[in-house]
Amino acid sequence: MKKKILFLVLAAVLVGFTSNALAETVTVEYWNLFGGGDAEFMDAIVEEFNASHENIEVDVTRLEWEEYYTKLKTATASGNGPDLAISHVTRVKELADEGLIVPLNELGEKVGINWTEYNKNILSGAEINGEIYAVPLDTHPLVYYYNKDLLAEADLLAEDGTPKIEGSFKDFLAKLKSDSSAKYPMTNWTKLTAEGHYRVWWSLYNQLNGSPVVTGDKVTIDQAKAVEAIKYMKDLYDKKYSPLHSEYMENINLFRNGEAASLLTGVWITGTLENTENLDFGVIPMPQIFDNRSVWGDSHTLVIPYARSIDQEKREAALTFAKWATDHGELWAKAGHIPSKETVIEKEAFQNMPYRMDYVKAADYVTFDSAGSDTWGIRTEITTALSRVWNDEITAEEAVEQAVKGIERLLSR
Amino acid sequence: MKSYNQLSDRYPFLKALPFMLPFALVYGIFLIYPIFRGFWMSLHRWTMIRNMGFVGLDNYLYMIKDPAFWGSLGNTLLFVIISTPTIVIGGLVLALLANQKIKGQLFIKIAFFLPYVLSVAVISSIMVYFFQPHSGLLNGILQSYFGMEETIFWLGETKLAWFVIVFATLWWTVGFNMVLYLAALQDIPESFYEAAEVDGATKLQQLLYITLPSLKPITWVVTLLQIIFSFKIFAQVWLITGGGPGTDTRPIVQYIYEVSFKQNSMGYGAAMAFAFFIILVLVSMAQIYLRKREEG
Repeated sequence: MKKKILFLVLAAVLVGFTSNALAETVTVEYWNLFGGGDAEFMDAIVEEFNASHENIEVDVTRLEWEEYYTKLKTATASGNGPDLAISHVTRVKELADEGLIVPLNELGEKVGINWTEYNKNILSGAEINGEIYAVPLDTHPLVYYYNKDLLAEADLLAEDGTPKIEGSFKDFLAKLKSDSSAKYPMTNWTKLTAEGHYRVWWSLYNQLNGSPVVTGDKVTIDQAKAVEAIKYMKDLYDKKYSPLHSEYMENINLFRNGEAASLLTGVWITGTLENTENLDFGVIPMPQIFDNRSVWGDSHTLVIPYARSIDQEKREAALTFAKWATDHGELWAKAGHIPSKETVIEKEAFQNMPYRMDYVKAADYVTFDSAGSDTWGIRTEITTALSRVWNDEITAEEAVEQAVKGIERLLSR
Repeated sequence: MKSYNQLSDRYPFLKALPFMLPFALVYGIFLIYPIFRGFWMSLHRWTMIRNMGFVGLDNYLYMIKDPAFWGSLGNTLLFVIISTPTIVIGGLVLALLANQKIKGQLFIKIAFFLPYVLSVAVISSIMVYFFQPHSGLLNGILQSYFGMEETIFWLGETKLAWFVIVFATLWWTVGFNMVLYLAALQDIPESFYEAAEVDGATKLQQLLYITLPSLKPITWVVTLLQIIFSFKIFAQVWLITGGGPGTDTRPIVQYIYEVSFKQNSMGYGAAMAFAFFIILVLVSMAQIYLRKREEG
């Protein structure tokens, strides 16, 4: 009798062990930096992925974007990094140079990622010396949102609901200012110490075919073109076509309340604008002002941080999620972002979404401003110099000189 | 062989040692060691995660020639000079007010102290909502009730931005100084005032010849603490003005933070932090010396 019980217990334990092993789930720690409008959409994607994958459990941690990279880098360096993380494509080189993320070519092919399906413009930003370090998730360029009612007041709305920009863009804004009831024809994020106005400058500088700001450890900015872009913007602010000093949410709300007739900001706000009552808006890619259609933009990508002990299973699970999330880019597009895969853009689910198709082309106009580990420093030097022009402290020429000096100092360290 | 007891009778220090050891250990690991480690880092080119090699005093030489270092150090000094007297005197005045035997005295104490319990992120957000130009509360009030036509850029003009930062810090931290002063006020014996009353001293005379002289010791403490707090200013500036316009309100701690964590140069950041540490030590020593002379 006793033996029988013992046998039964043993059998039960054995069965327990094996079935446990069969159903063993791999947990993937996943860090991201989403906030405001887009965080909920990412949470929904993770939830749906977890529901449809028995063996993988993705565990999301959302961090504050201002301090995101500081935390990601220090955690990874001390061996406490996540298994999967979001990175802007403009920060990928910096992370790869520091050895903080791992190349994904082979690993990706193992889980069935076909790199040729991704948008080439983004993928080239994630490629360093022939190795791909990131799975592109989206692109988010600046686009131009407009309030249809206010444009109609100034007779600037075409039959098909697009803006009638017949002369120059400034003529358009001037007419909008004089003939509509809007307080401001346009708004963009102009808090002096924030990146908003720098993004507009970057777009204009590249529309003039400006050279890269830095090549190797030399400053190679095209000073004349940099000045021309600044002068264009200065005039815009001086004529009060766009208010200065606006905080981020303030600038969004000026548009939502109908105080500003148009809004120049990133595509991530589409989802928020759609949920704004009594706002009849449309959207187009950023207007072409100079020689080409270049526009500031960045791209969210998925990267695998370096870990001391390599857990192949975890890495494959992490990339399985990356593949699934990019294959289901239409879920992410709900927030407003442009999917990274041509195959997603062709899906009916995406094509039927309002607004997105109006700016999907902008993904090809994006110029990234990555400069390796100095990306943040260079942006800040230029932003500071620009803000002094807006505040009438220095001229456009002096600003470019100041920025160059600042960047040279940065590079000499 | 001598026993521990005999030994410790001759050297009383040994008796104290076991009591001090736990704290000394923590103090050593979290305060003394990082100071030396920071100095060590400042002699290297050091990214956020690794040591790129010894550079001797290069970081310090770079610092001396870096206008951004001197600019932000100047900003911090300016803030110390403006904010210290403002917040110390503010604390004193509020304490005198709250110490009056009037109705609602408890309410005054609580109201003045309340902001101090809020975190810096909260008070900074409140300030941004209050001072932002196009939909801020203050401009809104001025425009709708006082007929102001133009828009004031509270955070976009250097002088106004400084005003906002000092105002925010005053509102946020003055309650702490008030509490210190209140405690000292309550320590002044009631009999002094009764005696003065008998001698026919007015309220003003009582304030000038009893209250203020009795507060001298606490004023040293409050001033010393305030100067150290003011030197360390960073978070509220970072969150309210971001150091702007341009870099006009960027304090030294923000610059150290930017260089170390945003520009990836821990080595240079450590050099500036060490220099700043020396400055703070000198300031504290000067204060202690002055105080000794005063008392001596």
